[in-house]
Amino acid sequence: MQILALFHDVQYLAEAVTDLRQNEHVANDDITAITGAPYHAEALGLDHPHSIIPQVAFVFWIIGGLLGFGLAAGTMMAYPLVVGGKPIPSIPPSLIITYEVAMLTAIVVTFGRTIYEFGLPSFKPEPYDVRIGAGNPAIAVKVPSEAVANRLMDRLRSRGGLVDVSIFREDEVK
Amino acid sequence: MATIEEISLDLHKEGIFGHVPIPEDQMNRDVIQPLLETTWRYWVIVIPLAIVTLVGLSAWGYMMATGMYTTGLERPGMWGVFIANFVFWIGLSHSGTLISAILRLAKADWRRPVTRLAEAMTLFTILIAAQWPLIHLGRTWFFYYLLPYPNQRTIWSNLRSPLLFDMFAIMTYLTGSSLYLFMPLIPDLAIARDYCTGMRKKVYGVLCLGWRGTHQQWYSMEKAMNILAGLILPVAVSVHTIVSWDFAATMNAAWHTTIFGPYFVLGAIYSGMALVVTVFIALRWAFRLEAYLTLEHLDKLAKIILVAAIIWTYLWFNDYFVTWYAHWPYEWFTQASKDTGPFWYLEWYMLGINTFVTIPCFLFKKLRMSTSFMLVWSLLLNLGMWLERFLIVVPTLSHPQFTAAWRPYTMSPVELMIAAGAMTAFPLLYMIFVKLVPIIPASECKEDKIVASAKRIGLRYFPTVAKLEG
Repeated sequence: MQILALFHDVQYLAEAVTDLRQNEHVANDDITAITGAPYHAEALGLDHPHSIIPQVAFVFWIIGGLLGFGLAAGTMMAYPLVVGGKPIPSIPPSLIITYEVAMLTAIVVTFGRTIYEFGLPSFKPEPYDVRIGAGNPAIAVKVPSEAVANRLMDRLRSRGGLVDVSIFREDEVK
Repeated sequence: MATIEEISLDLHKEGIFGHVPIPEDQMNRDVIQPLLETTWRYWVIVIPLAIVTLVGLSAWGYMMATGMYTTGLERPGMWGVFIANFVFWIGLSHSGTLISAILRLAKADWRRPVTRLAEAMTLFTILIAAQWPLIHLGRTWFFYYLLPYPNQRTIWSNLRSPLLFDMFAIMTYLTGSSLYLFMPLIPDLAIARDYCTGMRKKVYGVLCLGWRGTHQQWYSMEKAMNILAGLILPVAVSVHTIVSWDFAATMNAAWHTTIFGPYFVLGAIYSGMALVVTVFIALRWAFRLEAYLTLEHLDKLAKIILVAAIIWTYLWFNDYFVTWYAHWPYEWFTQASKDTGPFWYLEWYMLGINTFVTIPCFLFKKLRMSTSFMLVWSLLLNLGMWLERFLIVVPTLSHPQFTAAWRPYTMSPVELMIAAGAMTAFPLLYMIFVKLVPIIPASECKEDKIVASAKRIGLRYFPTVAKLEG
């Protein structure tokens, strides 16, 4: 179960997040900020997110390079044919194929890892409201019970800048 | 006291760049509108494009069925318009990457409304470019011989040939450009999902993969886009360098020169930027996007073009001067055929538009910010750059070292129709694309709204930009 709260702007959202974390002891991982444009997580009152996209891209860039080199130099040795008087295997042309395959691998894996970190594709119901894209940033807060949800909703209603707050259940689609 | 919104609106009206002072809901509706509404102007453009494209496809089919003798290709000129078009269209793709990747890495915020139209340009020009080697093959159905896999013919692709480098490079660039275009499109597809109804809503809902805009998603997006920009940029440079090696790695006069790598890349950026200007002005007019695609953007694009023009001139002169100074007969005959010989009018048109018109005119802000001047200039420039590629391919092959084999090349009607079909296929694909996805990246423009503001310095307000990263 989650509650979805929309605000007039990020200032109110950030203050609400800070209030929930400090006074209601809601964990950082239980709060998700949902905005129509990118904001710094710390500006929203949340911890800095994590991502290992750069590391994954680098590792697979190396792997792709090895694959490319294997394709180019390996096949030159598997099919030894002197071309243009050049040695078998020839390093400079191997480097071209190595480079291209390395870059292709890094690009594709970067894309794949990013989609994974997005948590996509996701077609199951998630807390969302079309007003978020229209300029009303929101937070989705995981709650263990309806009583806690009602308490948090009352607390948010007592703060300024709230547009709407509601309970989101798994079988509900907005 | 005026609000920041009011001050920014005043600055915007004066043409001073600031954030787009449009409410987010209105911004969403503006970017979705081309998807939902189709005016008669759209059909006036699309129908003739579709007709000429069909003519081009028919000519290609006729050529495949009848044979390559329908073209002007004949010994010694076995490369002609098809290869010139291949190089030209690869070149056009480069500025999409330049605009979106280099400017992103340089944190130039003004790029935001322009990035997607440039990235889409890259994708479709690459698609068109990839057809030319297949067209040039003649027996297009044998294209799979290029693919490296064990086969019963015991043929293996020659991975030491620049032609195979081409295949790998184009495949990498096409894949990379597609992903680089799709990734930042996801949030805008989510906007389309939110604002459309019926079947469109379902389709966009699937295409956006369920995007919501959580802080983790935005963070990962930012990281990924910076990495993809850093990866796609060297790929773009390598693609056209490898294309230049199709020529430079041979022993032909006027081709075997080390300047070709940077000369081709710079020429690509130059012609690509001209196409960006054409697309920019066309979209601005067709979909009334003046609030997003401003004259200030046009001015900044023109300044980049001015730099490209100067560097292109330097590289061209570098190539020419070395040829002139050595006066090696076989090379000089080829150059003379361009200076005073049968190709003289093409060469002088190319030099005229690329250097003698562009550099002086672009020194004037009034001309840089004139849409009519820039539109006409961009079309003339791309004709000049097409001629540059033609003049690289044809004169050299028309004048081999064995002088008895000299033979002029003439474009046949079939080649002309295929080339015309490709010229119209690109804007046709582009117009279809603009009807399917938002061409203005609303999420990027909203980010611009967050970071841009105005600060009072003395008696005036000036636009300011906050740096959020770190």
